[in-house]
Amino acid sequence: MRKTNSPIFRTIISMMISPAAALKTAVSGFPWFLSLAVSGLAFGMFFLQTGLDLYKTGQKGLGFVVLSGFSGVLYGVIFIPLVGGLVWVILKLAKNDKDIKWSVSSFCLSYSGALVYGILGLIFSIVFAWKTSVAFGVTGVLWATGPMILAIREMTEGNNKISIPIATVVGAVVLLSWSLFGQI
Amino acid sequence: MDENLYSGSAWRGLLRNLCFIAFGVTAFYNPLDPLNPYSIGFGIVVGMLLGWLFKKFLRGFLGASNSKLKREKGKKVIYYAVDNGMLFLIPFAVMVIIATFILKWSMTIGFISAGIMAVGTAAAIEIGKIVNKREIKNTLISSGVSFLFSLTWTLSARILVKAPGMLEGGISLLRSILTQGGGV
Repeated sequence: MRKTNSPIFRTIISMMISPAAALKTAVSGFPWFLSLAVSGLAFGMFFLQTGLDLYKTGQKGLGFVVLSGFSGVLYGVIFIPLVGGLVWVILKLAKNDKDIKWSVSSFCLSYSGALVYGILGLIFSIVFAWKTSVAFGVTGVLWATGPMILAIREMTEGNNKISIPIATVVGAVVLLSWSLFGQI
Repeated sequence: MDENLYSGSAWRGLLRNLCFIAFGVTAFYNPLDPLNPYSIGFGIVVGMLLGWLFKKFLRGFLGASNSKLKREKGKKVIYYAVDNGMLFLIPFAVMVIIATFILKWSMTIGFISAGIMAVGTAAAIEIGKIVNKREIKNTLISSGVSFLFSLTWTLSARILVKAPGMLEGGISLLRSILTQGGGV
């Protein structure tokens, strides 16, 4: 148990602090389903905080809070890997030699920072009754942009002309889709 | 490599300036008076000043800690690494524009801080790519400079946000003195 837990924790932290090194060494050996769990939990906590913020202002009920958390998990488990897969298909044309599992895992693990921010935000939301979805949730999602650019660069042999526009589109889509969710 | 150091540097400079202009304009954007020339002008000046200082500090510190590399390949190699790293600002600039003008958010400091931190990581990676070796000192230096700028921006933006209004008041007063001799 200890043998499994240590690399998971270490990979999450190094994806947050030193993503370039983690992408080169840790991602290929990281089980793909655990990377899905990272993005699932990260978005679960982010959306849960959004629900809690709306509940605190009296705009939504407790049912919505539960639904938000559940929707976030689905978003992180379905949408983010799909984006990783889609980017892999696009980059296949640019002689990408990484396999699809690596692409999906690296995209999901880019949200390691969002997971850490999500845990902290949830603690502050519940214990101190703060509204945390923007301060912690959005900050965590923003943190994912850097590792995501680096993941795309790894797939394109350091090509900024491809990696930066793709990361920009993905970041904008995540931001807009989350905002639409908040308006439901 | 030497040809690469010069090619596209004007574009990189233009993109960097546009990103910092976006950061400045969105930081001082007033939703009640969106086309206020004082807010927009002040935002452009502060954004470009922050960008210029950040570039100079990052080049200075990375240059000082890579004196051997500078001697061998010239100072342009450091400029190239920093300018390429600055391209990582683009996704954050696009996202802050979406957040301010489409989602109508007012708390956008996080976007700028996250962008500046991403540049720190990227500049160190670019130097690592040139020397074919990742050195922890470059990561520490560029992250340290980025953190200082991120912190400075976070703290000063809260104070500077009052400046466009004061500037507008001052210029109106001066104009009234010049045209009406200060009389009411």
